[in-house]
Amino acid sequence: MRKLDGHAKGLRLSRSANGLWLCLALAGSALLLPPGVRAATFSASLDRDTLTLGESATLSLAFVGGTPKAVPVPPNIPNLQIAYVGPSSQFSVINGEVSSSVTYNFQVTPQRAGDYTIPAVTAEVGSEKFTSQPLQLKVLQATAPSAQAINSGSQLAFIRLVLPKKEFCVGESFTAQLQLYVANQVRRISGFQLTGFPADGFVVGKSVRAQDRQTQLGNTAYTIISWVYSLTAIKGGAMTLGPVTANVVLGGRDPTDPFGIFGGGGDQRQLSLASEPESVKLLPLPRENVPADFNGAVGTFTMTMTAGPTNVTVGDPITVKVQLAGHGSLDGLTLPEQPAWHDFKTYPPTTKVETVDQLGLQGTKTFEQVVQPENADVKALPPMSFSFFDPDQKAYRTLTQPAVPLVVRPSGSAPAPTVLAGARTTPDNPPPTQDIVPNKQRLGALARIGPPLAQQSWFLALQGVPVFAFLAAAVWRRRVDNLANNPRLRRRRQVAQTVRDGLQAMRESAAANQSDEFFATLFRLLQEQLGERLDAPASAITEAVLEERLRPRGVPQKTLSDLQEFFQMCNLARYAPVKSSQELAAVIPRFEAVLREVEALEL
Amino acid sequence: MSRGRFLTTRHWKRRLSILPLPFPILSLPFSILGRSSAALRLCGFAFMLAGMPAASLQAEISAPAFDAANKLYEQGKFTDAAAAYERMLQSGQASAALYFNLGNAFFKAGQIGRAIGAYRQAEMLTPRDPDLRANLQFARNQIQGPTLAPAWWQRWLTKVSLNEWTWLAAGALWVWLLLLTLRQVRPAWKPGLRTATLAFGIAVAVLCACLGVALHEARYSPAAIVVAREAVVRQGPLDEARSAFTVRDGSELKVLDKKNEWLQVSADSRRIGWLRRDQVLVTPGV
Repeated sequence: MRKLDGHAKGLRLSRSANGLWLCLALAGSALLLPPGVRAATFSASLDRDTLTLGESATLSLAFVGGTPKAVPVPPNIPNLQIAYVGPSSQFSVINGEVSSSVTYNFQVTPQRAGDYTIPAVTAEVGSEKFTSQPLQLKVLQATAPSAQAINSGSQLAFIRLVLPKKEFCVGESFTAQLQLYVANQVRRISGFQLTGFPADGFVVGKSVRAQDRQTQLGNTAYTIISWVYSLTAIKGGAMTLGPVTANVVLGGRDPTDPFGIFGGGGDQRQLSLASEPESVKLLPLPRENVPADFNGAVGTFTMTMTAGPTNVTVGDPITVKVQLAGHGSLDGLTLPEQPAWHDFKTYPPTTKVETVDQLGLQGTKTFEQVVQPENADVKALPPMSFSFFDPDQKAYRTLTQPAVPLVVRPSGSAPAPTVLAGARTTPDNPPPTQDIVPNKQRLGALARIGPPLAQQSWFLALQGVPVFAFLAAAVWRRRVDNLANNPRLRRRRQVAQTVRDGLQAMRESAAANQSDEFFATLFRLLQEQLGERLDAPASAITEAVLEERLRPRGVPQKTLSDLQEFFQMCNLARYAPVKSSQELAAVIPRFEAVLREVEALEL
Repeated sequence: MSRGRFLTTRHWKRRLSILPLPFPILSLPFSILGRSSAALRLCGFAFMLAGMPAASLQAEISAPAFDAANKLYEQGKFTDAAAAYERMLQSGQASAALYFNLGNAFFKAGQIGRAIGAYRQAEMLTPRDPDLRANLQFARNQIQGPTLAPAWWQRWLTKVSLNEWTWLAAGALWVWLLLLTLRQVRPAWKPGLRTATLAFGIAVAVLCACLGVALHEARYSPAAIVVAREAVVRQGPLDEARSAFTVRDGSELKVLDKKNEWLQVSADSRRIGWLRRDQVLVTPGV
């Protein structure tokens, strides 16, 4: 529908501008006008004295030559809604004579047709009190245009109520279409509002907007805007539906041409529309051949029913699922009492309505009811019946679902094994079980009820074992790699081991009084230890090293003297006679001390 | 070689296949590699052996009481049977069969909520027992009104018990650390162990994540199972508060908060309210 947004915005701007001008004019008049010019008058007027229900009139309270202390308020009149719109003002100087006026405007909207009198309004201007004259307003009921006027195409807009038929049965749900015809010469339509939909004998339900259509009446093309209403007849007799009345505003400025520069007209017109009343006959439901289980359902329905499990013990719950699908008032459908189910304990059913149309007249209502067999003699769930009145056939119809065979065991008997329905089953789509799986006969392994493993401290501590092992391996690997990458460190450790082994060999040589071997080992150890310290091959170490390489590096004199003594001792041993075991043994501690000094040297 | 004296590999596999499989996921890579899961079943059996002697002894002691409770059930005295099973549980003993039969007794006595509670306890011990899963599903199918439907990942997590998740994660961690240790001790083996180390590293991460979620769901995300025939969920923790919705026996709800004798529960994102504590069983998570 087209709208008049731009125009409404313009009106708001105009009102605020009026307020500003009013203030300026009043201030100017108060300061400039001589006292003799301020003689005030007060009058009330209506822009028209006859209205159609749904239309509005403007009540103006005008003050000339003065301003009231407060906005005058018209009295409350039953069925007449009066709303303050705002003030307007006028200021003029003609031949030196200054005049000013302020007008307070009210919108008057009748709620019902009839003759109204707007009483005199009193206002206070300065110290004087003014009273307006009473006003008469005639409000006419909106009437539908004649068929001749409609067919000639002379109407700008009108409404029609279209019913599918003229006779309905009580309880029947149907749809009615309200059509708004608007001549195509109308550029914009806004403010369509239903003001009355008399529907005595009906319940008006949901409504939806239907697709717009075009039609030709006389020489005029019309757009038909439709709304579909759902109605349900609730009492019998001759009834009248309508007249439906509505207001609509036609015309107005084009939103794309707010100033009318390109020919867009700014006129708008409020119309009160009414449809022809529709006489309808509502037929009461026949009193003959009423099924015993009929509970008021009217429409056309189909029924399906399932029940399960069907292999049960006395007292076990069986879920009965009933689906009623069709056309009618689905919300009002209830399952009838089933007297044949006297061997069952029944619980109130749960319901679910799924509609396939927006009006909620077409769809499915699902009932799920739990029943319990009360004795083991029950062999079947008795047939389920549902009766309704079919308004198309004008007759009662009864739908019946066959009995569902049951296997009901006494409550004390051993439960039957799981029954699987159907032979074709797949692992992905197992069939529904009909009962619980029976008890276990073996107790199985017992366990203490306690906190889970993941929260037991011993288990958490146990997880530290592999972590510790890994860390230890990582540290070990690091040390091995360091040693492999450091030849001096490796040699130092090898020499330390050689010295330990050599000293042991010297002790054995001393004990065996093997002087040659003793001093040969001593000399070798000297070479190894000094070679390691000087990072030189052991074979390159001679006595000359002491003066050439050790002394320049600041080795203590005592150490040098001791080393020199041992070198000379080795040289002498090659020529001197063999020493005794005691003498050899006495050499070892001194030699060991010298080796420790050399080992500690930082060269 | 005599078949009477020695078991062939096939015989061993057949014998081992009857053992419980605590590590179904661990068996996956072995299956992919064409190996038998028999070795893993043997590992599971070894884990069970640790607690076997005491359990067997207790089972012998408890068997008469268990049989007596079963007899009550067979006689249709479901409430008495349930009480007998509960007395056994109060002594501190528990087994999956005990919880299973307790659930059956409650179900037959018309107490669907308590039946579901017992089945869920059994589920923690034997999560892949088909009988148990069938009965739990059957009981859940009887519930009317709003109830909490576990998400797919929650259903997937419950296929393995919490302790099984723990063993899985711990086993993978041990193997992974062993591989890392071997790489330190024998650097020459590093290239050969690279794929296995990477695979087990990923397995450790995934399994530890699953364990963390399972632990959170089991210990810190409690659920409430309605045990009253019909319970009104209110908009506030007061008897005078307006009704929000109604739940029926067996409905499973998520516990969001608690205040005095009231629990704030939700059946879904739109249905949240307060329920009296005496109308529900509060269990670990879904």
